[in-house]
Amino acid sequence: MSEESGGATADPQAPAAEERAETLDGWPIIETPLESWGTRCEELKEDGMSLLANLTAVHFLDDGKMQLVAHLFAVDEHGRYEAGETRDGTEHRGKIEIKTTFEDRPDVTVASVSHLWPAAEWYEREVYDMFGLRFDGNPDLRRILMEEGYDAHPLRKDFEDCKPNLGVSAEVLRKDAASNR
Amino acid sequence: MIISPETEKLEDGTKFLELSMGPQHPSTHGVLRLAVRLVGEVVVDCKVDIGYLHRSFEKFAETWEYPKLAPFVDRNDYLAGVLNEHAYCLAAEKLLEISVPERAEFIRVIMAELNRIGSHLIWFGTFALDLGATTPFLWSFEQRERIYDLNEVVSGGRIFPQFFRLGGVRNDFPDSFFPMVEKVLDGVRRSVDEYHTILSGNPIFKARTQGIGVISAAEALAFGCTGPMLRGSGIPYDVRKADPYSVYDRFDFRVPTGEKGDVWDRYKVRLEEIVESIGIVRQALKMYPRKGAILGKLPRRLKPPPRAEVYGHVESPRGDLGCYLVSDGTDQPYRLKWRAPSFSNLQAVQRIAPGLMVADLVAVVGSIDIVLGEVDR
Repeated sequence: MSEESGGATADPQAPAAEERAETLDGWPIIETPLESWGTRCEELKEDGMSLLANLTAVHFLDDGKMQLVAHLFAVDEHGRYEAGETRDGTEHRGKIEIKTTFEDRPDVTVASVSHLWPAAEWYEREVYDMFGLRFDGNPDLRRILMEEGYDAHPLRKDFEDCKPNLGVSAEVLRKDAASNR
Repeated sequence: MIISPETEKLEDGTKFLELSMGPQHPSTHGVLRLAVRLVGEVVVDCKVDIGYLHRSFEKFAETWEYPKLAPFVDRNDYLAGVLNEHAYCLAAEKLLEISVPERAEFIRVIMAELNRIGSHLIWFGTFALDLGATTPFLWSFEQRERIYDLNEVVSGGRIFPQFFRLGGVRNDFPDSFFPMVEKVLDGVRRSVDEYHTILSGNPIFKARTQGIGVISAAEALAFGCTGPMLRGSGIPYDVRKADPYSVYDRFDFRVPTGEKGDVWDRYKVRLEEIVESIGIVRQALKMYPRKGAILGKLPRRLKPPPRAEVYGHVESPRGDLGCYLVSDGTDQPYRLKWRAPSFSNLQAVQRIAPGLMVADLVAVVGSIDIVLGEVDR
């Protein structure tokens, strides 16, 4: 059950070691710069990563970084994970995590991977909805969970908690509460 | 259903009608809206609109301590509560280096499989109802009620057991559980045969499901479909086999698959899975150690390594259910992402729908077994 694995965390002081990092449960992590996100994903798809299980983002407020994370499985036709090696020499047991970390700026766009895995279309919409990241090449980049016209991106760490946003301004709600007292 | 007043034209000049299925319609299994474009009775385009049940679970999770979150995840997939807890506990236990006693693993597997049976029974009933057959619904809910009785005897909760804890489970099986579970399993096993008699042999049911809503294996995989949706298309991908967690590697069970990937195949796969799950529970009850701890040791202070990340996943009744945790070294998750199988499965409807009749679209949506609670989170 408890599998020991070294190099569990990506130590910010050692960028060289970050290249071959692992998650706590022993998945290889591939770090890639933002510019090569699309091409790296395409290579991984060609290397047999057939299932895009998850694509999401993490906002690190302290160092002003945004991180895009995808979890890929190499599912073969027998329904098993196919162990192998990617073209850059990362050995894996059918599961890979790929991520890219970049400056959190409003003008950043990321290459969409929805042409590789159609599953990415909704995942990217969710990332756009929750973090405000734009994807270049997504055919239908709209909000998915929040309503159209909503003006914040709730999973960002600088999101103001409990900000009333029901088409009613905070002032109206406050007045309303005061008159009910 | 609301029929929009304006009838517009496609690019080639054909007039189409825009129809909004849902958000509140029995066939949408919750609050789901399908914006469908019709030419005559044929669907030419379908856009799925979700988010009506969004409860900002992932944001909430960032403000709760790890142990307190375990009961809360039940609410995502409300038809299979403990399977959500299982996915969350797997991830959090890896992150916090908590080990689970063997006995607790068996209790977890038994509860998880019972909930899988319960979830498939609900699906069977509502799916038949979607196609206009009322009796199977009443029959399957009778058996589902027995499963919920078991949940109640063990945990006190029927729909939301809130039973798993980090490091094990909350309490042991009471003595009354064992004779009861035998009876329930026998009852469900008999009922599955009855279901085959009442529905599987019915020519109308066959006509409504066979060859309808086909998705190929390659496409299903590309759309991120998992669970019976992918297995119906012929790929026997099951997390319990591909990436065995808990004690699933000790049981002998089959992964049923379909051939064509139509509604019928998904129906057959689920009914066969009920039988397989009964088998797993019976094996687990035999191997279940009657003595031993049910809760592992929890550290006094929860201190996960900072910037560590972990992805735990289980096979839920709907597919590959994942939980991605990122820690910042405190006792609360920095980020939690819930990988809901229904989310990806539902997206594939947009691909399957064009070319179908409206009535068949209802069958397709029913065959996917969506739970909007986990789609919208």
